[in-house]
Amino acid sequence: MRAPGPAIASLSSFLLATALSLTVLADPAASTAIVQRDAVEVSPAKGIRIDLVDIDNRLGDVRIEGHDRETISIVAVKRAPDQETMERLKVSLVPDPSGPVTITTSLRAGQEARPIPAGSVRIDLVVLAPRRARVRAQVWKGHVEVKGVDNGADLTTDDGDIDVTAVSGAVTTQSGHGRHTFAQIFGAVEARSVEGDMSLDLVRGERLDAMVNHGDVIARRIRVRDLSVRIMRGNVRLDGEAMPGGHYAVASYWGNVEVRFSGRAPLRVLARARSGQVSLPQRFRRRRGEGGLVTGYAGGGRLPAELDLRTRVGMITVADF
Amino acid sequence: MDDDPVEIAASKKPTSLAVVRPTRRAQTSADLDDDAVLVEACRRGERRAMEALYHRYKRRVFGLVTRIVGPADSEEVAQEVFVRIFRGLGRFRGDSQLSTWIYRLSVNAALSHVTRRPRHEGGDDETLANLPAPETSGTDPSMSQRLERALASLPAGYRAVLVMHDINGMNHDEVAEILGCHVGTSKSQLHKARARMRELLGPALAAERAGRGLDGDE
Amino acid sequence: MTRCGDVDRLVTAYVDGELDDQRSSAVRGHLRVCTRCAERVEDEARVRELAADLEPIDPPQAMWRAIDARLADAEIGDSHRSTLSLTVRRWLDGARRNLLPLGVGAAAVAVLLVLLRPGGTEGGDGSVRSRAALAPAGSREPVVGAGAPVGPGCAAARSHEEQVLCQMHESDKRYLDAIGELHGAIAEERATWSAADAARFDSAVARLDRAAEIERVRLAGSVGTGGPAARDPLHAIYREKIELLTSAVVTGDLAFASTPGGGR
Repeated sequence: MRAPGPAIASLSSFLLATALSLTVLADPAASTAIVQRDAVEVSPAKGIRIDLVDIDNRLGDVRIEGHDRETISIVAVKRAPDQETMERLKVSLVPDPSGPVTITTSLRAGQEARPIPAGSVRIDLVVLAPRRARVRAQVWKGHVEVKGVDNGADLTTDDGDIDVTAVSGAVTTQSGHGRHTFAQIFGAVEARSVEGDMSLDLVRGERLDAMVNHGDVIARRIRVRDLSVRIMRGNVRLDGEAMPGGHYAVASYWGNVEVRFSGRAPLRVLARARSGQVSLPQRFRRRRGEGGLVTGYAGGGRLPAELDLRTRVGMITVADF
Repeated sequence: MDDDPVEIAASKKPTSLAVVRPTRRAQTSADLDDDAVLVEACRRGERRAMEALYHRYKRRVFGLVTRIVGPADSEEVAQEVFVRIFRGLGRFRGDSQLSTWIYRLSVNAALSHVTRRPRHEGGDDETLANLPAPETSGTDPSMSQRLERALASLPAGYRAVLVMHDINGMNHDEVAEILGCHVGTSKSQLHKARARMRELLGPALAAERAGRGLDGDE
Repeated sequence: MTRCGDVDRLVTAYVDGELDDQRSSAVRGHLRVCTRCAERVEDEARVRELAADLEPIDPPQAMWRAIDARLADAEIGDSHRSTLSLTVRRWLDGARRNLLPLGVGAAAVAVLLVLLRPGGTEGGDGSVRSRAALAPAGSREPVVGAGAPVGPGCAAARSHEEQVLCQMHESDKRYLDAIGELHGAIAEERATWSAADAARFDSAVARLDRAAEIERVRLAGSVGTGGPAARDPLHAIYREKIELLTSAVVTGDLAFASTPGGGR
């Protein structure tokens, strides 16, 4: 049986910081729009640690930042064509005594059947959460941004960019359309995009797994033991550090593959460009096989890093630092 | 209200429009990814930029400092480093990269702390370096723990080079720029540091090799 | 001829890959015949590997607050000095390395000026205003983007409901187009697969197709559109299928097909 005490101390601990809104002319020819900004700070009850912040906002963008406090601050910026519709835009918070906090947005059903003009309703959220809480965010047509959290993130958008900066822990991202940008990630990364480029800078962790159907992957300062980049149509450019015993698989069906690994470990390369060239630096001892297969080996030591590079239509280039 | 949703919508009537400026945030956020813009914003005292800079460098600075001065004093020294960074940004001319400048402040602060520290507090590098190999005591720590302990017993100068090159992945050019020495000096310091580490970890490395040999024989 | 002493001298450069091919090869040659040196090199590489694998160290969570407090103290200290003394101090900071004697003279002037003008705390040039004044709490802009979320193909929609419906179809179409393209590439690739691999792959695809069909029927039977969230299960299946097909096309990896539920 769960204790009846709430995870969040009480309603009185919800500090209504501001409730400001404004009226602006969205379109001189159309109706007047209202923007309202709500801000609250939520303090957990004594002894409760918020270990997961789960946000579901299908009405706009989400930005999450970690902070060194136990509270959650939420700023919601709502837009509506009129006050009546504004009343229907809701941001709800479901605290759970076991630790997770869920934040959802919705457009509640109205009293009358009058249609809401397209593009006139929106909720954007900015959430400050305890750094050690894991964060999860799902949006629809919107941008997701996460910064400075230490326990990873799961982020999904149907159409919009995803930006992840200064995050530790396992990070998963997925989108139908939009750019994924990662910087300073200390942990495993799993990124999936149907259409959109991926950019990664300074990733350290056990695994990096990126898959894109249409788009380029540009990755620099990567240091992982296990790497997989798969692209249907697009180019890959990757530089990083190969670890002894590491496995690095980079493949594009239709695109160029260009990699550059620092010489920490000996490198064993298996490259297959079915209708393009494979270019390896001079220091590689290379051998040609069937079907465009080229193998190469460079460096001394007993535990080589394995590079598995493939493209069906494109060039493969292994460059030296 | 146990698990009931709580609406956070404000019920107050609209009162002001001063705080809502729809385009400014996105622009600022993108710009802050650029070091030069971040530095400028920090010089202006923008808290958001300062916090961004802190989070961008906190792990690298703290890791570097901790591994040079040891865990007991690391927080104090790292705080001092960040105070110097923010107070000294006015003097940062952009001749070197921001990261190099920050590392230089960190390493200098850490090394001078080690030099200043009274010998009886465990900062005497030579005494530490002469201790028996770390793996002879304790309850079978993992190799990384052994390494940390061996590292702690290196002379501070060796330690700094090894931390920068091998742990933080900097190349000799960067290490030399940070320490203000020749590349050759950085290389020879690293050579000596590694030799000392091999010495300190000798029995553990030999045991590991023997273990691999047995596995291979099976 | 390379001797043990040479290896001793070159071991670090060798392990770091900094030797040229000729010297590297000479060291390798020696290692083949000298177990002691081979072990030395192995130990060196292991030390380097262990060091590189050390985990980053996180600072305590409260550290930023402590730094912030120290900065505030320092700035309050600044505000107790006169503007002019700060200007001189800044100038000194820039010039002290090269112009020490001049700096000392200037400092003396500054001290004199401070003594003559006590209590000059306003900071007329703005340089000593506190950060709180420069960046009040409310300046953290909460608006995360401007304009309405309109998909490119749905701009013509007139009502919100119409637009969301259009966007959902647009989203479905994006997944289905990607799947269609992958199937086209699979048709070319499968000639190189074994019959058993092809059968296993087909069975995995069929399982996902069945699951997607069930979802589509469920969506068609539900009242209203249910909004974008109602599409989550269907889109999850599409993504799983895209992962399966992409692995097969791009890397020729059919192992995925044998894993119930795919890789995710």
